[in-house]
Amino acid sequence: MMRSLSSFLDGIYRLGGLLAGVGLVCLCLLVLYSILARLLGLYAGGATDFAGYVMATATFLALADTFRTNGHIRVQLLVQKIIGTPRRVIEILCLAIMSGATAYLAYYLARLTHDSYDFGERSEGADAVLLWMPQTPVAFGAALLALSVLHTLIQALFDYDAVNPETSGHEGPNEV
Amino acid sequence: MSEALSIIIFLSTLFVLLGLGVWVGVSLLVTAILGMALFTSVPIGDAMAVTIWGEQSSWTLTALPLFIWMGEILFRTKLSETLFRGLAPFLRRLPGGLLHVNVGASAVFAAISGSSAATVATVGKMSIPELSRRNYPEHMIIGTLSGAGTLGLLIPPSISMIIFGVTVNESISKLFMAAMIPGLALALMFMAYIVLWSLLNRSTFNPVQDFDMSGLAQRLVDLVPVLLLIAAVIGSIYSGIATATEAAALGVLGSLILSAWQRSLTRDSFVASVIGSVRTTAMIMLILMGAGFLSLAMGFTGIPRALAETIESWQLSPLALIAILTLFYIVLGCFLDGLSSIVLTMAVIEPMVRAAGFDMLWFGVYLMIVVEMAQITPPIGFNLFVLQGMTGRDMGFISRASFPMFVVMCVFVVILVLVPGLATWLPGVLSK
Amino acid sequence: EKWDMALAYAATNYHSEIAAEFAAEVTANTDLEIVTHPGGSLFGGSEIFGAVRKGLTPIGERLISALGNDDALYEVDSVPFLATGFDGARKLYDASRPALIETLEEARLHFLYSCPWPPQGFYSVREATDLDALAGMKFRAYNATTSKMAEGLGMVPTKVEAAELAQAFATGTAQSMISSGATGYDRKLWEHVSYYYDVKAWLPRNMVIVNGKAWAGLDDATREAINTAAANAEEKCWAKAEELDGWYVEQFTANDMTVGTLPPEVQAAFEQVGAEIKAQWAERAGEKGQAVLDAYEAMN
Ligand code: NA
Ligand code: NA
Repeated sequence: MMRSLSSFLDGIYRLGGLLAGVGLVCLCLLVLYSILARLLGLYAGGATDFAGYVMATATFLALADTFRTNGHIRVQLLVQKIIGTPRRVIEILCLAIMSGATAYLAYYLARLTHDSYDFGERSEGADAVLLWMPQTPVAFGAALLALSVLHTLIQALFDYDAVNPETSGHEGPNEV
Repeated sequence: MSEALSIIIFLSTLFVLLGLGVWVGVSLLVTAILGMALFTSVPIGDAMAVTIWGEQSSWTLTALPLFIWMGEILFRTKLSETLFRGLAPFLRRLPGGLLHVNVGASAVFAAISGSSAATVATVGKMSIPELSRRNYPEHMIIGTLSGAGTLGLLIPPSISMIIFGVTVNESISKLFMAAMIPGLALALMFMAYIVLWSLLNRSTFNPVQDFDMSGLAQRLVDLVPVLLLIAAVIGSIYSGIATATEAAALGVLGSLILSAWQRSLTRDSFVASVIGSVRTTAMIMLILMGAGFLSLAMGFTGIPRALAETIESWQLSPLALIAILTLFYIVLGCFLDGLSSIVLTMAVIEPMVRAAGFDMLWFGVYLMIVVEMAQITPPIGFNLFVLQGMTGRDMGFISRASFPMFVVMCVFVVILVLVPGLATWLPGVLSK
Repeated sequence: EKWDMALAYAATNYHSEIAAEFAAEVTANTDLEIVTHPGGSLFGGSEIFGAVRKGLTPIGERLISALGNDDALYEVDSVPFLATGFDGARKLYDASRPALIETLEEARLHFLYSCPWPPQGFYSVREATDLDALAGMKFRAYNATTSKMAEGLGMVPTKVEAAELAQAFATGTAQSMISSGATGYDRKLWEHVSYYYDVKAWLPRNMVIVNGKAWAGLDDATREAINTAAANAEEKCWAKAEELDGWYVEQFTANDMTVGTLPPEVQAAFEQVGAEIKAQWAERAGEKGQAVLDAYEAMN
């Protein structure tokens, strides 16, 4: 029961990742459009602002999927040597800290969105877009990240095998 | 509260969190939250949200996901084979033979990829098996590869450089111009090291020389798309036709065309490249979020300004300052990846470096080289990780093999300090 | 108590220098300490207005016309040829200040002082002998107003970010623009652009604002001292802007740019477009905007 709920949630994170991928493709198209517009002598006023929004959306929607596939960087140098129960305690502590921090982030990004909506705040760029619109998917992505971390924390508490860093297959850190 | 105490609190919090294994971005975020709570009366969460939104939706950063995507597409093409087969016939006659292909192919790939690990992985995919089969000593194969792979960060385009430019508010295009000559010079120094090594070890260095030279013309023709891609990306930036972001988008388009032309573009490889890119982007962005908020917290505490003023009051010569910074970054680079050490330190280092009167373009190039070193120093070095995955050798062996390259880079830092024109000349000429 | 003051422009820019003098004066005369953070080191330019409004930092400086999307009234200083030159800009400022203060109060912000940038001149790679010479030129537009301006004059608006300006002119991506002398000087545009027409089309202004709650939390003596410091800063800043304006133009001449005025025919076309934009602005700004225009016209 718990595992099927877990894989259902993983499906949602994956969906977020796919939507982020769509965002990346859109970002590329948007930039190509602005090049083309310049060549044709059209004015692509808001294109750069929209590119920023699309990037932010793509980034946040992918955060949870990245977390669940061990894509975020952590320094495991010191805890590597610790095994068994002590390691589990440390892992739970890390996840608890991360749950708190990501929930905090999600709450305040939602508040930012709400405040922009309340005040009717507009972008300063040529797009003049109401800022709550691009901020909504960003806040949603942050909430999804918080959910995925909490999800992992609960697994670490009750179903440790599913997330044990000593045994789980690391995809390893991506790199720059 | 005194600045010294707040520095201690910031640092110890950060080290405890990082040491526990809390994810880097979140460690930075939590440290910043704690610092703001202790030292300011600012509404913390709201300030965090405003800062993060402003940074994450900024147009300048859009070059980053696009260059990452370009690298992901190219990694899935036959580019590594093309590069190896195209460059080997020309480099094999140099003392040291095909080892030079590691450097040459890395330099070429670095000119289309922004990442150092991607460079190692792409070049190594072909050269490790080919060179091993010809009895090249393994420590030289691995060492030259991990060293030359770092060129991915220095030779433009470079993801670390984009992050540096965004952080200190310098033109990314100009940074890309500044890095070109130092990048090529460092590649030449790696090659010089190979020559030197092979001359010193003439008695034992005895690789098989059975290189297949057939179809030479076709191999050169195969290199043309790569060169076109370099021209499209670097050329469009240098000539000023395109901004860094636009060049990246053109690069993505070019890579897709190249991979379609090579028949390696499938639906699956396309989707895999996109998913891989958004994950890498998300990983970097989480760290940037934490770092951006931490520098806001530091700004409120006044630490960076106080530190910069303190160091200014020591009246260090620029040379002494650079020497200290180099040592500092080498130590830091042992434990942190290059990206984290850039974003972590810039809030404090930038005012200091500006106060000392350094050219920020020059400093950006310098920083890329010291950060490159971090890629090949144990225990945390991404090039080492990648090579560990590719060769199955342990970290100790790989880092020992890479050590001479580390020394070469140290020498190069000295050269760059003595001849700053290496970095500042080209941007000066090109922007005329 | 300590106030952090968010500034968007570099420490060496005169706006930042005068803000630092203002901060020093307040710090010396009151219990309040104001610390300036120039160069967007606290919040970046586009974040500052929101940050002060939300009380993330009690005081900050922002380019007023950047807020035009929130309320058209903020754009009154950027209506082309409505108020040209320093005298006109001063009158327009006096005429619009009550409405500006009122608009800011609705956002729970307290207005302290406002200081102009040097007037906007016309940069061109070609000599603007007549309208035909301008036709088809790529005009760097950075907002809706400048974009309309370009179209009205038969030029092609093109989007170029501020950081890429010099490159855009170097490569012909942009061939003309309207901007202040400061921009041309900071970017050494004489390397790529030969003509500067000192049309003084409008004078955009920065303003220094305080979070309403933070302001309400001060005692009367402190407020009085801040108001005095603000008035001093404003006077110094206007004088500085005027002094710099002449200096920039001298620098252009010294660097072999041709500095001049537009031929009457072209000047008339510019003003014609300006009048159209003014009408559109008045429509957007509604009654409040019309009141500002009436007050301004009464002064002339
Ligand atoms: Na590169
Ligand atoms: Na390292």
